[in-house]
Amino acid sequence: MLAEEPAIKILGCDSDELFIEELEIGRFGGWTASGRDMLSFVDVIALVWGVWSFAVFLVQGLGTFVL
Amino acid sequence: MRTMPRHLSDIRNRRYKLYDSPRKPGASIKLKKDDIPHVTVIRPAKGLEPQLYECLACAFRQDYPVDKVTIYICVASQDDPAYQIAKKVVDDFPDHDAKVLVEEEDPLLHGQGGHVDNLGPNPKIRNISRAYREAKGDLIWILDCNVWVAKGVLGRMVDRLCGYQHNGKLAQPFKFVHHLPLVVDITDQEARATSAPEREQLLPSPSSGTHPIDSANDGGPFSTLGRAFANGGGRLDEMFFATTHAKFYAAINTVSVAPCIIGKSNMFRRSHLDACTDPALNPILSSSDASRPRGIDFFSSYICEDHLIGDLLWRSSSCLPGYAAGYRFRNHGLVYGDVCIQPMAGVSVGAYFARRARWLRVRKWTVLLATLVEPGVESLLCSFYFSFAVTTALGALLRHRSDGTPWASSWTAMFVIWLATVLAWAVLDWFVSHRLHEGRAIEADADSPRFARGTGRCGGMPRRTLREWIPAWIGREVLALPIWIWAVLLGTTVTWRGKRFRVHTNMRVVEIEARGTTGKRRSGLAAESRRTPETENGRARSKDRVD
Repeated sequence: MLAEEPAIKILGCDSDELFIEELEIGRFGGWTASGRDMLSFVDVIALVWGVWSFAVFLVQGLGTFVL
Repeated sequence: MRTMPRHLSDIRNRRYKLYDSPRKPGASIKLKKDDIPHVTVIRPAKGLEPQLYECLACAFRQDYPVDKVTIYICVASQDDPAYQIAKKVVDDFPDHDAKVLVEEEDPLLHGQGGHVDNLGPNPKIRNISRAYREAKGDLIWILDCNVWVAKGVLGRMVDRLCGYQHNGKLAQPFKFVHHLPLVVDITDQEARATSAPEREQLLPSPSSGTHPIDSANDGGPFSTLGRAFANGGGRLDEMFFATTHAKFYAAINTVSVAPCIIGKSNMFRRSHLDACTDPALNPILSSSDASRPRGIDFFSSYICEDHLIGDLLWRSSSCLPGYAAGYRFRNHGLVYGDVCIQPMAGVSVGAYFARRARWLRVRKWTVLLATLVEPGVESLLCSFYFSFAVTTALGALLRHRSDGTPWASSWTAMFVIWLATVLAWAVLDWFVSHRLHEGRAIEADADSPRFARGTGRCGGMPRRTLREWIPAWIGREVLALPIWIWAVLLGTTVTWRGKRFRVHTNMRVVEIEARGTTGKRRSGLAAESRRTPETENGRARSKDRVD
């Protein structure tokens, strides 16, 4: 989650309605103002695969070090 | 003060480059004669493996007191082509306490008082059962017939198992120790060293017909491709054992979070295995295990016995002798710096595919989770995971800071990152495989065969050139996923020494009835055992083995 960014982005006002762009913060697994999880399926896959491949690199590195 | 976990302190204290120079002779051989442990070396043999004489003879050439070693070479029958070689090796070393044990003469299985049903169908266990029963001393070293080890290996193995150190102190002993395996493809060497008639004389193989080396060298428009398919399996196996397998084997055994062994060279105590396989002593066994035999025979109805032995010893503690008195053992210990080398010749790509598929099918029910995720540790797929993750994260980050989709999240970027990762992986493998095959840690002497001298010594194997290495690396990596799919998702049967078996989820094996057989399907230990003698009729070159 991007901590420096505003939690919501105000796009404009029309009478008493406030438009916000939820995806701006949902993209990195943050939470929207309404509390819905916006972590997309693609993000979850990327996260899991990223962690997995990093772990494999670590194990490989250890194996190479020992050898 | 907090203490570091033992396996992590091992990493910290261990000097790396353990495979860079020959290691010291074992501390155990400098003990007082009466304190040197007696070791029984058990060598299960089947068929004429390449360089069989040299591989069998290496056990006799160990730098260990001769009167503290007993060697049993085990064959199924006197008709086995390995029998004559085994006899010759025993005759050539008359000073050693050595015998060739024939399964057909095992009193437990044949003759008065014996019965073939006394053991399950696992041919390796049936082969070595008698040797285990007649072992002298407590230490058992099971060393496959098709591997070679250097002369100092036994002493260092005993050190590791028993905790002997050169400073005279005792380290905490292990329950089980083993070696990193390597394969050396000697197809070219064999083809050059012997003409076909000479080879026929050396390797009488009535059932094999044309030797694969010859069939690949007979010219023709597709001779290069034909040669690659006919003999390339050994090169693929060589690549596998010197790259992916070596890295993960070393890493997993260093962190020591789970058993990870291969049964080519294993040492343990008979007293431990006997205690672990006794339901009256070992609380982790179930009541149904009470009907199974003790010791090594406990595993005779199961496939993948090497893993099962290691796993049972790993999980058992309270039943071990001395436990009540506070004596504790570490689980498994890899003997760093030493390797066991399997020479391979004339193995086709199809045979490689089949062998790897058999391993996977056998392992599937043994370590299911590890088998399921295994494709993800191979270079092509793991690099795909990595490139997808990076481009997704980068794309999201950059999109957040600018309008539109940045190049960093495009398919092109993903391909570039994938390619870069695969290349980096290949470069690492190149260095690891050359480091291992240089054989700097191997004590080579006049008795060392050429394949065991390493590529870094005069008289050793030639170093693989980049032109030779790259096709083998690509071939192995490309085949990894298809082999996994075929083995894990598309079947549960294995061809084991000429017969087809179904591997059950509990790792028991049951033979699949031949087509046209009308007899009632047999099941259970007794029925499986009755079929066992037939399963021994493997090919002379025995590439149908699971081990």
